[in-house]
Amino acid sequence: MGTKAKSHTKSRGQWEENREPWYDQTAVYCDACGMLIPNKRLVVKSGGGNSSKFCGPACVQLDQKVQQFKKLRAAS
Amino acid sequence: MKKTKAESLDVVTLTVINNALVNICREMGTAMMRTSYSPIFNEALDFSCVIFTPEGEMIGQAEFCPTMIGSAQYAVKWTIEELGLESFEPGDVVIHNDPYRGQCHMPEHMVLKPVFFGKKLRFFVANIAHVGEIGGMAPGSFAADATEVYQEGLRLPPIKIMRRGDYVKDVWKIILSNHRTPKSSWGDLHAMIGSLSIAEDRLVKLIERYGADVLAEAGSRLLDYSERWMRAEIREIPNGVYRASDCMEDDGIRNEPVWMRLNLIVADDEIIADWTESDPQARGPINATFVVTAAATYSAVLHATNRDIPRNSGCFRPVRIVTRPGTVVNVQHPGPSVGGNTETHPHIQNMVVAALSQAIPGRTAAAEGATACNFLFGGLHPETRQYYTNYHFEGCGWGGTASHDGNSVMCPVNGNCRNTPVEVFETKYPFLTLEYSMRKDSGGAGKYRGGLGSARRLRVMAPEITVSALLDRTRTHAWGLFGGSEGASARLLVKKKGESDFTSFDKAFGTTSPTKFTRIILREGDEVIIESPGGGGYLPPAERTAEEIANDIRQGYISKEAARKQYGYKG
Repeated sequence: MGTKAKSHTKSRGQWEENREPWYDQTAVYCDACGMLIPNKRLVVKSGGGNSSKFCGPACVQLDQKVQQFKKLRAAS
Repeated sequence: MKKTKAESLDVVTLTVINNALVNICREMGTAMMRTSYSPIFNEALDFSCVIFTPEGEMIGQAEFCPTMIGSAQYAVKWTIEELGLESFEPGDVVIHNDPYRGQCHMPEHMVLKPVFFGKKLRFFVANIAHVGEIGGMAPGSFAADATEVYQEGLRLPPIKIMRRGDYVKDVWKIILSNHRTPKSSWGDLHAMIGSLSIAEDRLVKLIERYGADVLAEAGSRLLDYSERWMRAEIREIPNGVYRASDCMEDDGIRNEPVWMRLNLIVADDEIIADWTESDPQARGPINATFVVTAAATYSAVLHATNRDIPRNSGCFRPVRIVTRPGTVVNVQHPGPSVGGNTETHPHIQNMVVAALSQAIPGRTAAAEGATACNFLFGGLHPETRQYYTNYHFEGCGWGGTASHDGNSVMCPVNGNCRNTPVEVFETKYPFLTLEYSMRKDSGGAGKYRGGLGSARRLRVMAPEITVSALLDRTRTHAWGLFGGSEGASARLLVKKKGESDFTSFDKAFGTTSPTKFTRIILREGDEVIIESPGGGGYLPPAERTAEEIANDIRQGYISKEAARKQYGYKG
């Protein structure tokens, strides 16, 4: 979304468009910020066949930073 | 190689263009104030006006309602993404109030218009405003005991209400037939749409003066400039994780607190507000939407940084929000959220300020009252025989700061709205105002005293009025900072005609919550007291000078007894 920090690195992952029919009300949330994603989402595959959905590259970076802080916090 | 006009844009021109954009938004606001039908528009100014690039970046806004400015970031972008840029044509107007798609709560409606120059879409102009009545289970559309969004009124995803300058009549009919006061909605929506036309006209003139490429380049540079400035400000804040927590005292359905917990991570030139440890979403309507949490976080950061940073999307880029869907700070469908915008929002904002106070104490404030004291009512007016509704709110005390006493009787920080004069209130609605005053001793004691709340006493002057309410901070308090004392809590009391004493609504009418309820019928002669909370004090009361205390007593801000007890005053 417009308020996300500018991405300075090329992000991995693939853009996927919402393919649900227009009348479908299913919601998809960003795995980093938690916001409902309007249409296109960046899908990043991780180990074990899992994948995460993000608003965009800035949210991929956000997720990495938050995970890093959580690890540091758990370690301390 | 010779630079193009856009490339050679100088600082002076950039400043002139920035001010022009801000002034267009101010003019939009004036148009809405002067042409709308409802007091919440023309007296309270519960709206915001914004200008966006086609990419969905906010490049202009004026000093209206902070919560809407924060949410506009998302609502506009969402609308563009959902509808697609190619779907917009000259003369289109889109309406949107869906809280799950980037809006603050259901009453907040955005109207958005594309601005074309030649055949190219150059800008979007939009405003968001609190439409006073949108249907749902309670008159005034502020259902304090709603358990799902469908009880809160008519939900509109981004849809066109004007297409190429013509009414989309089917949509208008649906909207107006679902509102209790369609005449007001008609007038207020036209005030909103009219202000878009003014902005469109001014922007076209601006393009004619400077050229479209120059304006686009100016917009881009202003966004980057704001981002750089905000990053520089954040770099001044020591790195660390700062924590804060606060609760909503109940959700109107269950009489127990709902907690929000913040880990505010300051890392070099970026702030990450991690709200993921907050409680699951409540059954009642105190849930905040994602954008309310974002807007409250932005608002707090703006309060603690340089006031001259241009308020555009750029300054929000270094501030990131992390939430879990399905929590009180990111409500999921079909959870209700009407109170999240007025009540939970200032709590969230206060928590960010409290977290920042651990890092930059001199730039922050003690907590404010943090409730709008929402009081809704409606019925058949005995004189006009017309159905009316009104969304009434109160100012509260703000917290003391490192250099000043807190402001008294001010709309909570998220609203920045004005109060409605008693004369206007009594002319339009069948209530008699018996008292409207500042609450003595409600501000938290401190070297810098908390601001005072207000006291209002109303008498019903119609055979019956249906009332609803949504207040918080009636059992909790605005906290003080660095030795300052907490402010007084809010109160909502009622006295039935013929009775001698005021009592709470739960005792008088059996409501679950004493301050969050809907559809209570008051009869002619019944009276209501609304007392808004005071703000917290900053630094110990013992540091306040005797002269200032004497002045407080003279002005009626504090009593002699409180001066002696709280400040150790000997006069």
